[in-house]
Amino acid sequence: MKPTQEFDDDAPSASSPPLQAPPARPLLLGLWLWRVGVGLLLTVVAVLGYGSSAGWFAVDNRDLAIKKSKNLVSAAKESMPTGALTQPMPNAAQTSGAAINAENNLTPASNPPPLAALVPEKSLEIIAECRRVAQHLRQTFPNSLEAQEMQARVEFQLGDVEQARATWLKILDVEPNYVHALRGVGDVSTLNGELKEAVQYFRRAVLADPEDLTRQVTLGVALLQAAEVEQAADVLRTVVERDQRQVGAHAELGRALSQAGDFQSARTHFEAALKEESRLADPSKVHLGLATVLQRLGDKEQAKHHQDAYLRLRKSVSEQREGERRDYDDVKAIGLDAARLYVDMARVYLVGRQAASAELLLLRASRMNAADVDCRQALAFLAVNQDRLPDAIRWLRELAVLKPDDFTVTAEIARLYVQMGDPENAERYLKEYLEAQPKSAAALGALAEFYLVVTQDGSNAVEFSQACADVQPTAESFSRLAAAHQLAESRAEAIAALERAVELAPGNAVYMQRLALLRETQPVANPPKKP
Amino acid sequence: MCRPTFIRKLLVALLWINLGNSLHPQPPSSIVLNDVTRETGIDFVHTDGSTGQYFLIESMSAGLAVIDFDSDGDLDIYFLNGAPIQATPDQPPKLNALYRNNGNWKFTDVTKAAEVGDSHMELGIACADYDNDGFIDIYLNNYGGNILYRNNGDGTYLEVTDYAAVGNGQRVGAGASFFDMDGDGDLDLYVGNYIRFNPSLHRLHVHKGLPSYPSPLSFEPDPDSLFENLGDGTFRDVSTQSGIDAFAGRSMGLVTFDYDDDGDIDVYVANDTQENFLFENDGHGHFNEVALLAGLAVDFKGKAQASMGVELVDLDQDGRLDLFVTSFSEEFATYYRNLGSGSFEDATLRAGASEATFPHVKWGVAAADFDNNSTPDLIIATGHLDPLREKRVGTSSTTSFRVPNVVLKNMGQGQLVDAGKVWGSGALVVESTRGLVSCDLDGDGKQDVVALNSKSPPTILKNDSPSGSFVQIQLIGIDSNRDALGAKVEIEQLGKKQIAQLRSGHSYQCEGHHFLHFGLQSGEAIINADIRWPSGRTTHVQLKPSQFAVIVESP
Repeated sequence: MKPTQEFDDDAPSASSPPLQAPPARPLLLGLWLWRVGVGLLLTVVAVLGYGSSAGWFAVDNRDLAIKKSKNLVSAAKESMPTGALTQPMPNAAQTSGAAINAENNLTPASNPPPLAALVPEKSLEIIAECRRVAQHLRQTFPNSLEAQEMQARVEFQLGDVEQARATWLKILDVEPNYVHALRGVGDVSTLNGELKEAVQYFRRAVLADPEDLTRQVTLGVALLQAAEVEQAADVLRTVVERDQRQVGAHAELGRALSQAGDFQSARTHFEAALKEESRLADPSKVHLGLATVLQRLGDKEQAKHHQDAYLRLRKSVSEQREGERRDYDDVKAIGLDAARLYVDMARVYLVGRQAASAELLLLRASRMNAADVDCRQALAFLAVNQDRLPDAIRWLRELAVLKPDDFTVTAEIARLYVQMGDPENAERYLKEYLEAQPKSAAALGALAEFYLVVTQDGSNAVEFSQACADVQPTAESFSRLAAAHQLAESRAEAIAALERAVELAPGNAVYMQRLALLRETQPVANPPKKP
Repeated sequence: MCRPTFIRKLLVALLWINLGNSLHPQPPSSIVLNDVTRETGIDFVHTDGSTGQYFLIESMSAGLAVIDFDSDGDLDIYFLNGAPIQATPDQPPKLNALYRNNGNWKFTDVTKAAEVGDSHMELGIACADYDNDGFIDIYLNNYGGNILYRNNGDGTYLEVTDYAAVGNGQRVGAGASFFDMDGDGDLDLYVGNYIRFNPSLHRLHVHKGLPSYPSPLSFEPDPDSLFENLGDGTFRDVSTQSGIDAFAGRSMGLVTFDYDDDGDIDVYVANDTQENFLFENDGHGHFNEVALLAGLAVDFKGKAQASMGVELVDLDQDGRLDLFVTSFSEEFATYYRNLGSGSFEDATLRAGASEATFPHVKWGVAAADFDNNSTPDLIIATGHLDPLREKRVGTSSTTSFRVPNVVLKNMGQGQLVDAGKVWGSGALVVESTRGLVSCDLDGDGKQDVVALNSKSPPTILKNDSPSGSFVQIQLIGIDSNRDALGAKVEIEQLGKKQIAQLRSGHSYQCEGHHFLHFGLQSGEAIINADIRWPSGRTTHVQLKPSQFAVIVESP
């Protein structure tokens, strides 16, 4: 089951992109390197769709949830071309692709996506370029449903909505259970007011991916909109029965029950939604829904209370919306849309083993959206993959600015510096992070591991291991502290720390074995100095 | 050899018949509204004054009025026109146009003779006999200065704005309504204001690379205005002391009616992109905003719609007046059902036919019993405000800048059915309609339709529905205001009751005629009519079917 958030019908809708798996790379890292890098790696894996489960991940823009749809795997694998490119691209595009390659020291793509050398400055040009790239993707992978899906998404967001529908329908001719296409056609139908038809497609999407609760909430909302109030309530009730924390489903169920005239039950579900108000996309509407049913139930005092809450929340929402409208910048907005699409199209190129093309798109996305995390993670990942470690560090440093609280980014930077034989910079980055977040157990632990494994500095290893264990007194922390004491040749302290680890994890055979071994070892009167 | 061929032909013929039936399904009703615009001689063409700068106000276009300006017993038409926001001296002014009804579906432009050719950027209109002299007057709610035309009683008008003190400053107009807010027998004036705007606040917006109108949210909302009639031909601005200007909205259509049945007239304002307002009258001209409490502020999703037009009608015929409010695309036109005791619910989903309105931008709305079967139907003006929509999002199969209007047939108890494309040739008219009013233009007891189309000639629809029966009532107030605005009429025939209230201002910034029209169940049975006058007096009369009744308030 995947989490959902409340649906916000003010928010623009977009269909779900399928994300694709890049080729695997060997992890030739030491134990500590793996440990400190694992967080970031997992993040990259989640974004790029590469994981131990070898599953496919999709970020659904509308549902704001990361999903995995295994049913795409076989279709996509089958559709990936193995031979040469099928369509030559215009010379101008090749030239501009070459310019980007040269600028970024990349291996040139043999048939790059048709990007201009510079980011277009007008929204119409951005749209035209994005549509050309989608066309290129489609021509490059003529049998790929994911390439078709991307073209449909580009049309839906930036081009002709009816063309998007036609493309999604073609996908469904080949793969009737392709959930993103089902969702896409449902969205177009909704847009066109074909509400009952939309329900049919959303229902098929649920059948194709029954574990995904987000799709069920989408279906529930569509049913309510299509005036199938009872059915909507049934679907949404199923969702909250499976996961009580589905606040969006509670809110929609409250609306459906209110429409059905079951005000008492509606009240229950509105109240359930408000229990986790911070997770609601727009809690003001839920307060108002609750106020309405309370009014109908005769509880005017409580109704007034929730009306006041509505007015209070609504004011800030309205001010925000008005500000957004006033400051609307079309080039920026279209650029952000295109950047998102380029990241997703890059995944398709990547799975098709066209890393250079993928990288071009990711680079373009990074320029169009200075705050895009996904493209930078992917670029760092690709650079690491190609042993361009300074490039990887460059992207990771940008990421660190965007995600200053995310230690995994700093850890990955440090790991790469170590790999490059530059432990001083690794230490510097870790310490800088620790200065900003002095209570970060992850940072303290990483620094301890750094001194323990890389510089073998027992004194510092003990200091940071101890600090980490103070902040996060887990078995793992005490195990690390024991190792640090061992390195510092403080046998008694090492035994004490390991005893604590065993105490916290009594079933851990490794800790017990290490403790036994340590106890058996006699202390050395004058231990030799470390070389 | 002959026989198989014959059978084959027969089968083919039967197939064709079946196919024909499925391709042309029967209308769900007997509503037939045919386009007769060309026959009328009306040559008005609306201009929105656009010069390529995409001022938001241009997209709003305008309403219209159907009134008997010359008191000859038939209904005349007054179209509002746009004007450039930043006019240059070399541009000839675009004027409003008044068309006199000559009968037999012929109209004559009498704008100049009647002296009502205002050239402002016109948006909304309200018409009523504010000075109780028996002749209907005209108030124009414009951008850049409102206008009050007093009817001289001889087919001409005199502009008396300054004298009457209802100019309202350089604001952006919307709907307006005459109503007697304090029960003193003369008509006060509610004036909707849209946004705080002047050209310096405008910047050219671009969406998906193409120029576009800015969102209303780009501008500050503007409180409405309320003018008290002092009884001597002048008004006093009471916006502040009445409590009205404590609430800033983006007003569009509005209607004045007694929402809580307490005998005074309240004000409902459809706001663009924010919660609608319901100003509850304390009976003395002081108002509290109670829309949220009454369930009239937002739709069933809790969403503040981009509300446009509003109609007052008892759709489910439970004896309470409901509201039907039009809205933007991807929003339902909302049916607010009156539950009594000042409480309403969004009954759109249960009413059905919501799908028909969802994709369109919806503007004017008129309720009328088009097929005279004793249940009021609806006609809704549609048309996207974005003339570049196709270039922006491609060719949509369902909506566009120019689309046919929507007719919803009332199947009884508020159950609405989309009449599709089979309600006469009117269904084939593809325009971007804004103001829209139903009225009986030829005096045949059937409600026709007049529609103002943005940047186009208007549409006149003649009701050719099979004859049902009807009764039409005109009220003349004595102690009440002469137009009897605010009077509530309940009729009963064969046990079935219908209710309506006379009001000024409705639909999208329009003024309709001040007659009440009821379709009937029977062409023979007597009709009992009960009138509750604004003065509080009541009158009971018996009427015959197909009667045009004029009822004067007893002193």
